[in-house]
Amino acid sequence: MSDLRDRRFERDVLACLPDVARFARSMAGDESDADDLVQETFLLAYRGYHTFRAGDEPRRWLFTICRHVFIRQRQRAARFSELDELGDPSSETMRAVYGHIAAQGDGSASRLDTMDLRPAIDGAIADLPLDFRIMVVLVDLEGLSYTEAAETLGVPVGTVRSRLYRGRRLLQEQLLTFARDAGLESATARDHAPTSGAL
Amino acid sequence: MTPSPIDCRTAAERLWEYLDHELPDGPLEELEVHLRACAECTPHFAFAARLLRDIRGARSNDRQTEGIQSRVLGALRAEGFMAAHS
Repeated sequence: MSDLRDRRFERDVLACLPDVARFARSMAGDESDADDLVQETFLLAYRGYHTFRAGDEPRRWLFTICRHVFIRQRQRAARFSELDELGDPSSETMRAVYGHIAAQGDGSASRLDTMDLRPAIDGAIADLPLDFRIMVVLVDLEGLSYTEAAETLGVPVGTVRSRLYRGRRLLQEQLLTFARDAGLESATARDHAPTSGAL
Repeated sequence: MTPSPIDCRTAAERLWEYLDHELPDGPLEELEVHLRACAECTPHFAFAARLLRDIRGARSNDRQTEGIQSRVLGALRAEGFMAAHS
């Protein structure tokens, strides 16, 4: 590749490395596998840079390559198509709302409002099934629109909605469980605390 | 023109699209009119908005990328990559 093209590659493509690393980590789970995935993604991007069209978004181009590499490595293409049979987006959304209604009833929703969720969120995202995790990462962490996520993954926009909403609902459930457990712990601690003035 | 009234279920079904700014103008206007008047739906939207803020905040916990960056640059150099800062 010419020096000019390499400079362009460095400026436009290599600059996306932190985003690709985060995306790879969300798919691979394991950090060492994620690093292999990142390296392979950039090698393929470099070799295929002539196919990159000026005006395209390099981050999305890299996400697409990264996902292809991951599927090829894991030979899990079949699993991706299986998950297209999700509930429709409206019912996924309604389930999240029903979950909130139940949480209002048992007090975990108001407890969650006052809690710092950051320690729980990374783990909750990592625990999501792969296809939902990818969608949450692309839309919520990387800021892609539904259409951009659909184009990046080569799936219909309806599939983006279904997987994203399911992923968010699962996250909501996990975080509400975190809030409930934290409430139980503090109640137990209160029950076992010595009462003032007790001898 | 006044938007058509929608019920709570229809409003709730639009929750994520609303928070993601993916609702088309007509349904968006219908929803905003509903939310201004409905005390039942507002807490669901506020709860979901808070949840999304927290999830999106997870992005700030980026992993360090220096190690993988030098590894990628090494692999690219082996392919002939010769940009200035490599």
